[in-house]
This record gives sequence, C-alpha cells and structure tokens, in this order.
Amino acid sequence: MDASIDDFEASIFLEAMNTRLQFKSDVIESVFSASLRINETQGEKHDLVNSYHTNSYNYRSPEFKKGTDLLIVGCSYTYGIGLPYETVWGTQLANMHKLSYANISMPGASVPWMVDQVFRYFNDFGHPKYLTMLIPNFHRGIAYLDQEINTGTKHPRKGDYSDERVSAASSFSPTSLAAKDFPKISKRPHDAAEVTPPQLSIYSSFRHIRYLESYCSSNGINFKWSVFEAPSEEFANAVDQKFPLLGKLDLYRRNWREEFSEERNGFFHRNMEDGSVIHCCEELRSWAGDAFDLATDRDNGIDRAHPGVHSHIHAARDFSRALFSEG
Amino acid sequence: MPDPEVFVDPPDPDPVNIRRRDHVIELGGRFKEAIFEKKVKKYYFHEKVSYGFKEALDEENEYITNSYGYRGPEFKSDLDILAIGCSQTYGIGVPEEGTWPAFLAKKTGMSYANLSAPGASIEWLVHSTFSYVHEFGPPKIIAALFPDFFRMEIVMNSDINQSRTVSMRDWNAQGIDPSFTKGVITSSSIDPDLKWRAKLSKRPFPIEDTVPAEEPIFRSFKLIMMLERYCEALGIELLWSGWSDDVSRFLVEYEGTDYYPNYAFNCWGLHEWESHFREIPKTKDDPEGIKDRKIVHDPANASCMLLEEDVESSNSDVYCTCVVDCHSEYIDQFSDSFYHGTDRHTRGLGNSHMGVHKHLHIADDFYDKLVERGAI
Repeated sequence: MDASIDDFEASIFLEAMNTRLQFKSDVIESVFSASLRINETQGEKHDLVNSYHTNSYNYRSPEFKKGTDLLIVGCSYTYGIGLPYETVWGTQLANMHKLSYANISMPGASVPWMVDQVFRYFNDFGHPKYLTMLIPNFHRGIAYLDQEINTGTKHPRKGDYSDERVSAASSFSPTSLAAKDFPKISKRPHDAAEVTPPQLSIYSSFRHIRYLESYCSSNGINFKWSVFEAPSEEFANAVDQKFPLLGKLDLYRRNWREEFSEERNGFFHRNMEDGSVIHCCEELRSWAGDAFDLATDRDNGIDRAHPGVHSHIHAARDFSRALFSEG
Repeated sequence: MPDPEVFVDPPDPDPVNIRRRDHVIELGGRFKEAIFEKKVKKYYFHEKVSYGFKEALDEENEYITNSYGYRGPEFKSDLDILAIGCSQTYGIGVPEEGTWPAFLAKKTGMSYANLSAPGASIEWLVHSTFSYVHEFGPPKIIAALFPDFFRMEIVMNSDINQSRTVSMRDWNAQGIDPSFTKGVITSSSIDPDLKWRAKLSKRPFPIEDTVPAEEPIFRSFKLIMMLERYCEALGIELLWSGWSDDVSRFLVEYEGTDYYPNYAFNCWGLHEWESHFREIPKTKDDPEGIKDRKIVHDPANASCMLLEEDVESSNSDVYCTCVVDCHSEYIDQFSDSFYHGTDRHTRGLGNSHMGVHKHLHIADDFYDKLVERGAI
C-alpha cells in the first residue's frame, strides 16, 4: 500500500472502538424535522400528538442502569415514532411482566448498528435477563462514506434514507434489489446504494445476528428477534424448519404494512389475507387514542407513516409468548 | 492454474427467496450456507486448487489439516489456546511446528488449535471465532495476529460488482477463499490511494473503486471491539496484535489506553523485519534474488553466508546480511525456512511469508504478555 493507515484520521478508529452507547442525535433531528413536524417547546419535543421524552443518553427510554431485566432494541418502529410512549410494544411487554427495561432503539437503525449498540450497552450496563430485537428488514447496513469516493443514495424512495443521514453510523438501503435497476455507469463519488449489491447488507445483517445469538447463548441471555417487514413466507418457513436455532416468532408471518393498511374512512384496520377486516383489541382502542390504527406521523403521508398501536399490541404479545412460553 | 469450473457452485435445489418491495433475490448455494450456518465453516482448498497451492506456492512444506480443513490439531472443547490469523498464522512457507501457535503451545505446555485461514480479513476471523466458541465452548486464551485492516468481507454479485484485484484465477496470489467465490469473499483489499480509483466505473463496479478504504478499517475495529466484549464476558483471555506495520505504527500511540485494552504488543512490522533478510544474492539464473535457498548461517559472526560455489557463480557481490543474534538453536531444525517462508520463490522476497524466526518472536511476545497478565 502506498498510503498507510496513518493517512486517516485517528478519530475513525477511535470511534469504531468506542464502547459507549451512542445515539445519533443528528439522525433523530433529521427524522423529526423531515417526517414528524416536530416542535420543540420548553425543551420538550413533540409531534402533533405525542411528546418524546428522552433519557440522558438521548434514547426514548427510562434511564439506563445496571441489573435491568429487559433490553429492547429496534428501529423507528420500536422507538415508537408517532405513538404515545406507553403504547410502544417494548413498554407494553415490560409492563405486562413487570420488568425493568431499557430501550435503545433508534430511527433508521440497521442490524449491524443495533448489534453494535447492544454490545456497547452490555459494556456499560451489564447483561439483561432478556433481549428483544425487532428488525425492520435486512437491507439496511452501515456504510462508511467518503465524500470523494461514495455518497449515500441519491434516489431516496419513500421510507429510505437520504444522503445527509448516511454516515459511518447510520444506515442505507439499496435502491432496489434488481440488478437491472443498477446504473451501467457510475461516476465518482459513487452512490453507495448503486454500486453495492443488496446481498451485502443481508449477509452483514445475518452475521451480526449470529454474533448476538452466540453471545447471548454463551452468557445465558434469553434473546428473541424478529422482522416486521416480512421477507417472505418462504423465507420464514426456511428459517423455522431448517435453522431452528434462530429466534422463532410468529412475527415472521406478519407483514405489518399490508395487514394494517386497508384504508377505511381515513383509518386503518387489520386486514387479513382473505381480505376481511378483523376487529380485535377493540377494548384498547380508547387507550391508544388516535394512534390505534396508524401512528400519528401519517400527516406526513399515509404510506410513510408507522404502524399504529394495534400492531404494537400484537408485537408485545408475540414477544411475550416467545420469551416466556418456551419453558 | 486451477480450472475456473471448480468455483462454480452447483445449483441449489432448494434456494430461499427474500423479497422486498416486489424485488426478489435468491439465497442459494454457499451464500445460503454463509447466511444461515452457525457452525465453524469447513475450510478447504478445492482438490484442484490445493494441488495448485502446493505446486505453485510452496513445494517444501506439508500442509496437514484437521477435519475442519484448518491446519493443525483437531478442534475440541476445553481448549487452552485458540490462535487466529491469516496466512502468516496459518504458517505458509513454514512447517507446522514452526508456526507461532505451535511454539506458544509448546512453551506454555497448553493445547492449541489454529483457526487461521490464508487471505482472511479481520471480519472473517472474528466471525469464525464466534462460531468456534458457539460450537466448542470458550477456550482459555485467544491469541490473534490480525492482518492489515484494509481487507474486508464483500458479497459478490457478478451482475453488480466485482473485485478488480481478486480474480478467480488469481486466488492464490490474493488469498481468497475459493469456497465462497460466488457469494462472499473473505478478503478484498481496498487500496487507500485515491489515485488508483477510476472516475467512471462501469457495471459490474470494481469494489476497490467504489468503497472507501476507511470502510474495512472501520468494520475491523468495530468487530475487534465486539470480540473484546465477548471475551471479557466469557472470561477468555484475549490478546491481539497485527503484523502490519501500518497498524502497528498507529496503535502504538494508543498502547495502554482504554481504547485497546487487549492489544498485546507492538508486533514489529514485517516490512521492517524483512529488511534484515532482504539481500539475497542475485545470480544469472535468479536476477531477482528470490529463488536462492542455499543460505547457510554462521553462528560465529551471526550473519548469513553463501556457499562458496554460489559466490563464484554469482554475478553480484550482494551478500545476505541476516541479523541473527537469537534463536540460533532452531536454525538446524528449520534450515531455510528459519529466515523466510519458503514461498518466496513464487511470491518474491518482499511478498513471501515470514520465517520461523519471526514466528518464534511472536510466540515469545504472546508468552510474555500472558505471564504479565498472570494468565499462565
């Protein structure tokens, strides 16, 4: 190599070796300002309906402390964008079993990011008894961006992350999974999503899940994970049948966006595969308020909005069953 | 050269599709295995490839592998020392008993296994270590000699990207893992020099042109951090270092800080080390001075000398000036490979793997650190 490691700023390596929990406040600010129309008054953030209280680490969570029972990790869904705090599935799950908990979810998080943060949490606050991770999908990844060489995706689709949110510690999604959609020629700085095969983030996501599974099984942590953007029925079956050591959850079979996305009178109801609309959990509708069917970030566009409290009720129940009903 | 056909995976009769927003990608062949398999990956050189390996790279040493395809003793539970590393720790060019893991085990009287793979990146090694611990339980000690930080694991999709430095036909020079060539390669070295990067790239995009060199470095450090955390939780004594002088020069500034608590020692960069062995005589048959293996050592003046007849036939007055003022008791046992890996006749002197002498020093350094920590 002509150039050496000395040519890089030490901060890159020091950051990579940082074992402290880290919340990318620029990411959340950006999410808030772009999709939530967040206002800040008297030091408190709120969207049109909800307030977002954060702890001293900037997470929407109780203060972290050693000896916590349940660690919850996820993306914006588990952060509870557009939802009252007590209705987020992690909070529901903890309250259901009277567990002390911490929630280190961050909007936009990829699997490698989440796993990295979980390790940092272990480092600072020790092992929880239970660990739950709800993954958005396998297509986000951590990408290091050097403005001379590559950039974040220039083709943000709805729900994808635009350029300024991509960093060493954020996530990006490939524009598409189809090779034909990749450009034939790319000019430097290259669009990271255009020159990277989508398989890379899938592979990297699974590797990181492996690290965590191995760590948890070696250290006696009850770890369950699932995906809310169901990759496919076939995939779920393959995972269940051929790789039974993976976390098994019914959540695999749920595609929240589809099941909860039939519009009716401006609201959303759970829509089963046969097209019928199922009304369940109605007794909790008043508790969830306006966010029962769809999170309140829907004013930014229905298909950008996060699923409502109804889906969180089912997520909490599914995780509860997975954690506690297997002996 | 190996037949390219050996790299073609058979079609997977039972692939798994993963979908997102109407796009489907198929997880088949070894890629599926790479994603789902939890156990230590069987590592092997394909029959045809291993033939090439032996003939082309190193015809002098025997490479006996265990049932998982790794060089050295069988893997087992209740292991004392797990050594991890790339080809240097695998011991290309030296006999198995001349590798640093073997010396360390002998010196400590402990059992060992060697989870090293030629061409491995730090990413690949950390993953393998997690798999090992998951399958066989924690060893007492993990000693890692990492390669440079410019290597990374990359997924290849021949429609979208390719590696410009790693071609399938050049597997042994670049040390890729042939069992993964279609899906994931363990090592793709990203050159940090911007001037080598094309302004325009055509699909399939060369990963070396489109990925910043910080990416593999960043990933490597992150994974070392995870490994440190894992070992700490399980009470494994982890020591790591790297043979790359680039890394050494950087890390030495942070030695003893909280950032790298298990960075064991500054492994004197190989380039610096090799400079003591560089002056191999040039002859008409060997103008590069890399083929000659008739080096003998004279303990009396601690230098290497040529056999007389070679001096006479040499068209150069360059003499080997190896500095050997220690470990000379091993010279008879390992003869030529004491100085250099015996792969130098194909790799060239600057690229050959380190000799037994360097392995001895690395084993000594690990040993001293283990004693210092009270681990042995």
